Amino acid sequence: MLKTKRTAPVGEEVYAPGEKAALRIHRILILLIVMMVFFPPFNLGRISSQISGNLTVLTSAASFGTTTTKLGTYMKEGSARFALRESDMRLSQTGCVLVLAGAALAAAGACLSAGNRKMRRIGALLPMAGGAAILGGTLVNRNAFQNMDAFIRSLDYAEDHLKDVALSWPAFADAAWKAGAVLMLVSAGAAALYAWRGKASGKAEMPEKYKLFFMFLPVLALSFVFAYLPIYGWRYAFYNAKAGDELTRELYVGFDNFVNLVNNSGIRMDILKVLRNTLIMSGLGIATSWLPIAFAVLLAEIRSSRFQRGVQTLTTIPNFLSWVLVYAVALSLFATDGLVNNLLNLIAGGSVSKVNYLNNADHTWLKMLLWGTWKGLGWSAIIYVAGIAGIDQQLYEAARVDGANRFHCIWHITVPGLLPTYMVMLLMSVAGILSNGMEQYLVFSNAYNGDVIQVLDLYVYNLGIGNSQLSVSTVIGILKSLVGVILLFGANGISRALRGESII
Amino acid sequence: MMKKTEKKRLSLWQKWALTILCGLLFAAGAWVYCEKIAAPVCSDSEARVTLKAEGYNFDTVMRFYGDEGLQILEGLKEELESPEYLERTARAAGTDISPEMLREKLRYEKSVLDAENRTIEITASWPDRETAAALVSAAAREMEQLIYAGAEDEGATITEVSVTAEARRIWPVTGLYMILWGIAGLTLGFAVFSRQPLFDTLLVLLFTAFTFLCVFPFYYLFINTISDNNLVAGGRINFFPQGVHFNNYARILGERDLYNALTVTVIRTVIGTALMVITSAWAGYLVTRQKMWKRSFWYRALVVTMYFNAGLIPWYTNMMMLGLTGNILAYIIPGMVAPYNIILVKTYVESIPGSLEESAIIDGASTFRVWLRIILPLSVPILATIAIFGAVGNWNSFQDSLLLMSSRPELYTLQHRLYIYLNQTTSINTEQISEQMAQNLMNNSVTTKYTIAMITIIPILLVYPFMQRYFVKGIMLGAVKG
Repeated sequence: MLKTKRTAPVGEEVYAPGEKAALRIHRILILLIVMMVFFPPFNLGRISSQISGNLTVLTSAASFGTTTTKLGTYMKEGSARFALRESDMRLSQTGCVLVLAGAALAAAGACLSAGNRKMRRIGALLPMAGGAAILGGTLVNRNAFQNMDAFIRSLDYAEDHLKDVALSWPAFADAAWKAGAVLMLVSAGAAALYAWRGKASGKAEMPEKYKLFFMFLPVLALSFVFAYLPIYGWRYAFYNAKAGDELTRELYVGFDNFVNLVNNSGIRMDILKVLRNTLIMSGLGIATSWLPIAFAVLLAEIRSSRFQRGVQTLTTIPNFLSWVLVYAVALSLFATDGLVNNLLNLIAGGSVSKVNYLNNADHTWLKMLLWGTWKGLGWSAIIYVAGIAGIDQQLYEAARVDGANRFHCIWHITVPGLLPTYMVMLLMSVAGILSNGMEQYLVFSNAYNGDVIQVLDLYVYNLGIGNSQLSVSTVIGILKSLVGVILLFGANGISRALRGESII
Repeated sequence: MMKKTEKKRLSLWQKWALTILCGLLFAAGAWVYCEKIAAPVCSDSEARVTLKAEGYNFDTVMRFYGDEGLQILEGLKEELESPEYLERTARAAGTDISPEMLREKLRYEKSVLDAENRTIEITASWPDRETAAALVSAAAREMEQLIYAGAEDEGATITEVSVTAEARRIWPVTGLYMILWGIAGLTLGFAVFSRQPLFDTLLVLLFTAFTFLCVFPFYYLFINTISDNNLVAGGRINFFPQGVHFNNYARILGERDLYNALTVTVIRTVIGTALMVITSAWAGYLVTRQKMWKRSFWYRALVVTMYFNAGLIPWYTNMMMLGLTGNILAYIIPGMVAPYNIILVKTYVESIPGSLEESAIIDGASTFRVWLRIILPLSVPILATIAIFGAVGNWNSFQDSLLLMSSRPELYTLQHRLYIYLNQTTSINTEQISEQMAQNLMNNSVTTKYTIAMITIIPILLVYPFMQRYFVKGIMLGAVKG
């Protein structure tokens, strides 16, 4: 891309020998500590195996309700199962909050360490405070755990209660946080030593490039958490896990799930069926992808611009409905008591037996295509309508002088003018051939058309959420993602080769 | 050019008035043909006999429609269609039609249960008017007796039976002719008075038809929500509302489930959209700043997330890991970073002349200040665009509610609620139903579904005129990047 110009930056300071390397290690360490916040094995607050093993320390700190979903009944004072004091649980939560705060302080310190020496001094102090907070947090948590243990042992039927509540000390998480905090304190100390060695003059400042980056960092962090972190969930593919299972060593199956897709005839048949549906529906979509062009070209042939605008406005409305609403519309028109049945009966004088057009498997692919067209045609045409407006009018005038009629003009000027856009759209839809979304097919699916309507996305949903086959579902999801990426890069390559422009 | 032609041509209003007049004339012609010329000999005419048995108490009526009741009804129907009965009817009517023919033509196609008015209505029809008139009274008497017998078997008490027999022409055939001829008239009128070649006229017709298809369903849904509920349940409301009332809306909005869903959806739409717009505006501006450390790398890392996702289950477990299941924040936070919208803002900001920004930076304004004072006011159009997209997306959101909120039904979004309502079965013939269920059925009838759908659609339709001018801009900007 464009080279960044090197203007004289603020805080281009002389670093002491070895300081840069030390700071780098320091930052990597802090990055690791921050990452620990997002991974369940480091959940310090999981002091009972009744707490889900899928929660992170972030959840333990932020959401008391989520953490204690299964423990709630044990916290009701006076109930037969009462074995936990809420105050102890709150104390454990406080420990997690401290740890979280420590990690946040450390992160802030790591950011500041990119500044000038003055700023680096503050930047070195913050992780120290953070380390202290983390250590304090682990101690508080330990204290809470011991309180709980002692309290349960003091109760009657302590054995039963201990078994029910299943207190378990998160030894690994505790050790990891402590070790992290200590290491960080050391590295922060080193950073501080470096920072205080030389003179620090002027204001605490940071070079513009880092400042900009750190302002952008929250956005990146959110993107990381919601778009990249899910990749961690791919580990389900290597276990034989149902919903709610802990991923323990016993459940580990290696690549069995992948192999089973081919070896297990039941799954294989399912997948072939689902792939057939997916490819046919995507194929139908691609085969009719010229419709928006036709729509736009023909609409442009109408002279009244008021009519054009009216049509454009009204035909885009369906695009803004969700598929659930489209289904509601479909229901009102095609159900047993719907308009279509009513009209047929009115016309035929009541001789037509009423059919629920939605509750059968006939022509499902065609119906889905038609609903997609109904919803999307007007909207997809907008881009071409605008494209037509952008075509040089002189071309048409010149053609007309040369004796071209309207159809010549359409065929030789308008259509070629729209082709580049169409190619992009076409390539994108080819790249997305496996992902036709699940919403449409979910809302239209029922007991009758399950076989023909189930596309890949819906299958993954039904399998994973409906049948709680997390592992198989994840495997299919992974393969789909990978094929999707390959297709996308393929399409991009084609686009580059043909048009010299990339589409992503 | 316009001025010259204007004198020769008719004005817009005259053109359309004449065109519509032409259409009406054709329609009227169709009416005259159907009603005055064809009707006396029209074999489409039919006669109906309607039996009303009033006074079943509610329990019996419900039982009547339970499995047992259905059997009785089936038996009744069978009996009515039996050759002996038909022959008796034919003889009583004094015609010489064979029972086979009678069975073929005489239909008992409708049996309507109206629990509110506590009547049962059985309709039979016969396609030939004259024969029908003769058959009607005989059939009515026979059926009346059968109904009595059937009800006595059931142990029901019938306080009043009223038999109404009427012979009438089927209106819709005329209506259909009128509509088709009317369209033909409009087409012709348009071609003649607007001096359009036939090709253009056909185009106009084509687009009008498609536009009609896009709009009419909403109108249809709407008239069904404001019409008399019994008429709706009987499928009588097709083109015009009848017995207008707004009780459905009042009733639905008073339901707790829906009220919750509406609140949640409004909250997420307002807050979620606002945060998304702010984030996109901020991020979209920052990525235009060339000086940022490793800018293009981060930008790409952000954009790639548009094309790549880890899959549904990993996403779900991730949300679980973050404690966002059953948590209203799950509606708001993940949507804050929307790569596509960031690209839109970036493209837009890049089109703003850089000199403004530069001079402000030289004057010592901070990045945030430049953004707030210069970039933000200038990029209002694109922000409006993404706000509209975001708001519609939030309003229509369904999947996250479906996947994440199963433990907290009070956090379902409106679309999710609607989905649940739509999937509730209301078919009374296929299920054995208790009284409680029957009561639920009344509440969850087809009008309920339609009304919820309408409540969900109306806000979109209301803001639609305002957003229309923005989204064209949005999609064009998006197209720049492909």
